[in-house]
Amino acid sequence: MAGSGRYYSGGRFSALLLAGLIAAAPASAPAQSLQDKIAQCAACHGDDGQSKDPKIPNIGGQPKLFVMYQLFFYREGRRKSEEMNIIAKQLTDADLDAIATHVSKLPPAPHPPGPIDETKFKRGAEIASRRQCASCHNDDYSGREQMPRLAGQHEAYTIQAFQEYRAGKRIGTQAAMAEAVRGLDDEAFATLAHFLAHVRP
Amino acid sequence: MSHSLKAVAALAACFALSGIVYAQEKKEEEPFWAKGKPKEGPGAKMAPVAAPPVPTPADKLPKLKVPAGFKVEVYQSGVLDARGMRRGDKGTIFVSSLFVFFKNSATTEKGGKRELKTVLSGLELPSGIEFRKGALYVATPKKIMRYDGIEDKLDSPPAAVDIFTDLPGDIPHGWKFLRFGPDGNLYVPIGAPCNICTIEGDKHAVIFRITADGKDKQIVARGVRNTVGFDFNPKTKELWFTDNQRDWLSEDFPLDELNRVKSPGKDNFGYPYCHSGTMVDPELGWGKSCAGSVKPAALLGPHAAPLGMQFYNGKMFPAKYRGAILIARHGPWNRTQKFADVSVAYLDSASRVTKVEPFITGFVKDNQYLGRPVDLLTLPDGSLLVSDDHAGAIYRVSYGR
Repeated sequence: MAGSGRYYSGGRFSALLLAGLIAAAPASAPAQSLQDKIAQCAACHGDDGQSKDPKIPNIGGQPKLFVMYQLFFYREGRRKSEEMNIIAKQLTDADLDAIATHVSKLPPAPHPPGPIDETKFKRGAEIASRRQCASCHNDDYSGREQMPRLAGQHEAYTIQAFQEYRAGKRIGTQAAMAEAVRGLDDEAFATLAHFLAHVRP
Repeated sequence: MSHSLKAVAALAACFALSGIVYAQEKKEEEPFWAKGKPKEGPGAKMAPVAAPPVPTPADKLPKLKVPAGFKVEVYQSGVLDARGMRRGDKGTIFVSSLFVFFKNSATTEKGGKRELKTVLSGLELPSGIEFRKGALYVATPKKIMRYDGIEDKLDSPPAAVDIFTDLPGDIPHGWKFLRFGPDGNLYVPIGAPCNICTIEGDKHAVIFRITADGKDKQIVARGVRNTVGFDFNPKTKELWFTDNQRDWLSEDFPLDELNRVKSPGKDNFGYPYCHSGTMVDPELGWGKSCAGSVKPAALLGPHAAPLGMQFYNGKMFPAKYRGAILIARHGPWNRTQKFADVSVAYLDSASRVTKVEPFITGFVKDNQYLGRPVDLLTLPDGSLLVSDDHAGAIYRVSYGR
């Protein structure tokens, strides 16, 4: 699942890819196989569900129900991303189930490259503890059901997700995230995202 | 202002600003929803239950159980996130949605065939619906709209007319339930924007009424945490409502309420200080008491999430159900042991609740939800429709024949 189009890096590549997708998916085109659809995910999110672009989330090992919901939200236009809205438009209910099953079985994100800022990490752990993130996302931040894996996620993507929840652009399946991020500023988001990217069980 | 004064002022502003940020962060350090949550054990990891965003196929829907002589059938499957139901004058069943679908649908019957179609799209949390004089009313957390003559224009609905926009628009407990009263006014709730928090004036935790064109707002009830269902006693014209009490505290407390408004505009039902009519809040309740709160007419179970309710006024069901209240108990997320059903509350001649018992069961298997009832709608023949937002279906319960 790519992030919002505005944040997509490599604009030219993105535009080309979009053009390709549009061309590949007119209503009259032969139906894509599930394998084709999964290959489409891999183009941006990586064969193993790990993306190279920090604005595009790692999806490997995400809980199945969470992935189903995000694909559904993109299909229905509830989450905005030029790329994902176009891709998800083609998905049937059965595709949501099959793709989410596939994605959930990919390996979870490993420890991201780059140094850990110990001060930031500690402070992020404090915010996570106070905000009780682990209550829903598990002590190891591996996620469950409709609640995503946060451990090992690209910081830039996590920050963007927090901002979207704070602005009401994303709602999710419940009001929980709107409450969880209420009152936190961008610095707190960056700190929390750094902790979550590097946290290990 | 001199440069040095400007600098001092700017510095002071910085400190003031950082002070605000600090205070805000401190104040918010425990999110509202987590107030009272245990730190360890099975209670610590409970989270709202989400169904897949795909309706359960008709042949996989739960096999519901009803008392002897009653029958349940699937009225409509494939209704994703089915929440509120209202019937149009021409027989259309309008179905609203909440967190998942963001669309409202309609089922119609033509030549014995039922057809489901999406009627209104792109609405945020459009759960509140009501029908009157040819118009569908739809409420989101932000506003109440009216769609005139919609039954004749299901394929190209009329433009919405905003009738009321003075709503706080919160996501937590901001979603709506609507019903017209016997006085011709539209009754509207505003839930608390949190699990447990103090309330400023009449901004939240109230039921109010407005005229059909959205004017003359009057508070009807206060101290209401989150009602998602109400109805008027056809005999006494009194408003009754279900109220969802606060989360956490314990597996078995607080108990959700069935309430009766005897003195509109005066009654206070206790939130945030008094829960279930018996216990003051462990944090906010110091120095407070339950004495000033109206006692619940009945208690409906711990974290039971009673939603839609309706006085049964049809002629199909046996006599003991007439004038009784049917209540959809959506079932708890905030409890390790799940339950869900449609219950019935029997009233005596003085409108006192004499007994509450399960009526439709079979929504839970192995402590997992197979379905969760939301709203109830009696059809003209006296049969009852039950919406289920978990399985994405509408059931019809009938008696005899």
